[in-house]
Amino acid sequence: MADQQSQDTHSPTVQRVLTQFIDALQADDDIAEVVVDKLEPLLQAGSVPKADDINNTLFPDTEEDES
Amino acid sequence: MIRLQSVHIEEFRGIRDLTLSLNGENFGIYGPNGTGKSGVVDAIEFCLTGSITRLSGSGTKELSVKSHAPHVDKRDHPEQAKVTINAEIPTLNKTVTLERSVKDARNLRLSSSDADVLEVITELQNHPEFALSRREIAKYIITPPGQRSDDVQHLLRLDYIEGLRKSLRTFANKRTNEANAANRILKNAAKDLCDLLEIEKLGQDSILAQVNEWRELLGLEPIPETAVDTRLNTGVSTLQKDETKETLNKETALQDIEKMQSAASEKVPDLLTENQEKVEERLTALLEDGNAIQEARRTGFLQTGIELITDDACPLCDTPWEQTELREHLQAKIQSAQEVQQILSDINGAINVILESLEQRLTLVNRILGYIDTLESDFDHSAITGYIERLQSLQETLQSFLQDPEDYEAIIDALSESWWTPDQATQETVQTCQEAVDALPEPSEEDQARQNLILAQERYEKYRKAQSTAAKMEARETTATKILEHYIKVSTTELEEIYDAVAEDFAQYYRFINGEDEEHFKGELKAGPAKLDFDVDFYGRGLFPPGAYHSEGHQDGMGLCLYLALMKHTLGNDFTFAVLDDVMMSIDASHRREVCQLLQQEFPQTQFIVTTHDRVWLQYMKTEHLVERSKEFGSWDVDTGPKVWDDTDVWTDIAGDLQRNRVSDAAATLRRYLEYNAHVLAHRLQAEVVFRGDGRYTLGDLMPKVLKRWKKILLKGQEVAQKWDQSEKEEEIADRYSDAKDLIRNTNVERWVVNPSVHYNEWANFEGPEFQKVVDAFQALFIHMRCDKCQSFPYITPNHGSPDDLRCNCDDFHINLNDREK
Repeated sequence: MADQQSQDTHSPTVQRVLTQFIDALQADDDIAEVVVDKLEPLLQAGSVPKADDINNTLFPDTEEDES
Repeated sequence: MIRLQSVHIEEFRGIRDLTLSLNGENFGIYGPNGTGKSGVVDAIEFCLTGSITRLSGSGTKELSVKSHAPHVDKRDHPEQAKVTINAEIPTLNKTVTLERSVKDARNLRLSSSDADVLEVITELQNHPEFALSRREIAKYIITPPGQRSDDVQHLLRLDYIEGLRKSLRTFANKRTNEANAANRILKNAAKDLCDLLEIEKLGQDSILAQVNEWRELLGLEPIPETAVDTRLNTGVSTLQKDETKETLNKETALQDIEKMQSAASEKVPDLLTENQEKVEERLTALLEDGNAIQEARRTGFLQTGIELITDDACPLCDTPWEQTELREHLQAKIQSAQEVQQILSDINGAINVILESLEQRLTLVNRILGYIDTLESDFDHSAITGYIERLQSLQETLQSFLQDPEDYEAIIDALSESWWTPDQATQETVQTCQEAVDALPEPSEEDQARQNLILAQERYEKYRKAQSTAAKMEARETTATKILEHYIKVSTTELEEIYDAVAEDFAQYYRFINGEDEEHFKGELKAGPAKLDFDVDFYGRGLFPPGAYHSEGHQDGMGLCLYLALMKHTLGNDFTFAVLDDVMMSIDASHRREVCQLLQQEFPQTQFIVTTHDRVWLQYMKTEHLVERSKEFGSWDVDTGPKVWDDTDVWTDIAGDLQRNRVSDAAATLRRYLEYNAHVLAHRLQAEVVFRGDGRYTLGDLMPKVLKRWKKILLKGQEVAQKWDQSEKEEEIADRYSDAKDLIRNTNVERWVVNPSVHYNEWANFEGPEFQKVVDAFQALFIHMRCDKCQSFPYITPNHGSPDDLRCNCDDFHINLNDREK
């Protein structure tokens, strides 16, 4: 018998939505390339990213600015 | 997907040891409530996915697979609780054994390590929606649009889509709050600079006009333009030669003090009053309106409540409620909660206006405190410090509410006291400060110009920094909002395509079942951010929510159709396996045939495992050939688990009880078995039974009529055989009729009414040998009535109208009942 551990993966539909989403962001001149580059790995990680994780990834100096 | 060949369950939920042989075919499980049917469903789900829906999700916080999946007597031995499934994978033409124990629930043991097999099993684990319970049907049909969106997306394994939308929404909202805060700071900084320069609006010309006038007084070069790094006080020394510390700017200090004093004497500005009243009024109204805010917080709880309604009673306290009425009651509360969300949005707008004014005041009071410190006076300034603390506390309360509208009572409390007019002690402190500043020597024009330029530079820097922060925050807000907009557009478009296709299939399936009276039926699924509206046609009168006019039976039918449409869309040709756990209970009896045909015709490649606590339903499925193989659970106890009834086991159980002289137990088992068979036979033979509105037929209602019908059919068969000159058949039926008379007589069924001492109610009081005769009589009767080959009870065709035939499931037993000339 072989063992198989449970794992999280995106369903094909979710993957399709994410691909189209990234395409739309890349096509938008108002969104910096670096933002898309940082966001994409976060979306592909499997679990839903938290709002603060998105912020820290895209704008890592937010807290410093506030202080 | 897969097709199940067999399922073996050990020490799992209410089951001790059970094997089901499905042979890759549709399979029916009948059992009254509490006999362990759902344990089988749980076991299949557990083996394939490692989790059990019943033990997860809302309302099951204290339940877990590890603690509660093993049989109650084996809860300390989770390694003994395990499920093994033998399955075939049609697309690969391979078989695989899957085994999972509760002790290591995340670890699935597979008999094959082939990559293609692993891929199928992984896919299966990602689609645990193969099991549909009646409770879940309600989720798709009658829940509010917001919850339906979650539920349908969960079924489609699209939870991620909604989860990401919520995260991106929160992310964007926070950036908006940050941008608003930065903008307020910028406005304050601009106002301070304008006040100092005594100009209405900031601009290069207006700034430089005043600044260069001061510079000229000091003999300094004019500044030609303003830029980010411009220093308005270039050439001005910070301290004069004879000063050891900085002196305050008398003119500006007096202006600030005058502003504070004006605030104390003037009435609160209209804009501030309006927005404070707006916040107080909206929040008070919400509180007075049946604790609407609390209900908004309890939305999730209310949604769970709706899911739990299965009977005419509150699922928590058992207070009697009519199901539909209770659902409507809870839905109204949820609707109210959604309205509350809109009101909260209005309140946030008003709070931003209040915060802007509050922060201006804080800046002003802090500046006055700074003057007091600079003056080094020995007067008590605790009052002004207290006022600042009060303003800061209110600022924190308002900002907290913007982040999370939780402590609404604190907002009402905070706004109930006027903060605009400083208290008397603060006013007196300000007055003392004014006197101290007044007493300072008047600066020369040059000194005043020098001080103004130093202060102008401070405020200019502050303004520039605020401008830069506001621009950065605005850019982030724009980016976050655009990200959210793109996501909503893309995900909504994708979901709309899915929902349009699903709605079309759904309506087609529903018309298949209800075509005779709803042939033009159609349905619409409309996706929006965080919601999914579902409307269906009601006899051509328009589109309405399913719960508006359709009966509960029709709603259940819609739930099944929507589920099938969703599964078809999600899995396509891989939809080879589904468990329908008691989902067809309340589907209108007159549409059961169509349901069977729908499953057979539209999903010929799908193996359905159907559980029901309606014995006639199981028979219907068999008659319609939807299900060929089945198990009947007769009863259940905690020591042995479900008692599976087949014609061998029940007689063995009864013999065992009689051997131990437990006549009452044997009598109870026989009675339940006869009740079951009486229902089955009444349906199969179309017995003429006195109708009961509540559908609760007793053994005495059914069995005498069933046996009377059996003899009548045999006589009819004999008559028809004679008519068509089938003497051999006629003789065979005559012999069967003669046997039937004797066997029925031996059961005493015909004497139940006239002789109470032989009635089944008295069996528990019989002596062992006396009851043994009863058992033998019924066993012999059932052997006589069953087909020798397939062991099924014969049934009459067609279902309605004059009988044509009496036949068994395998057609080996056949009697012609049609004497009509063609």
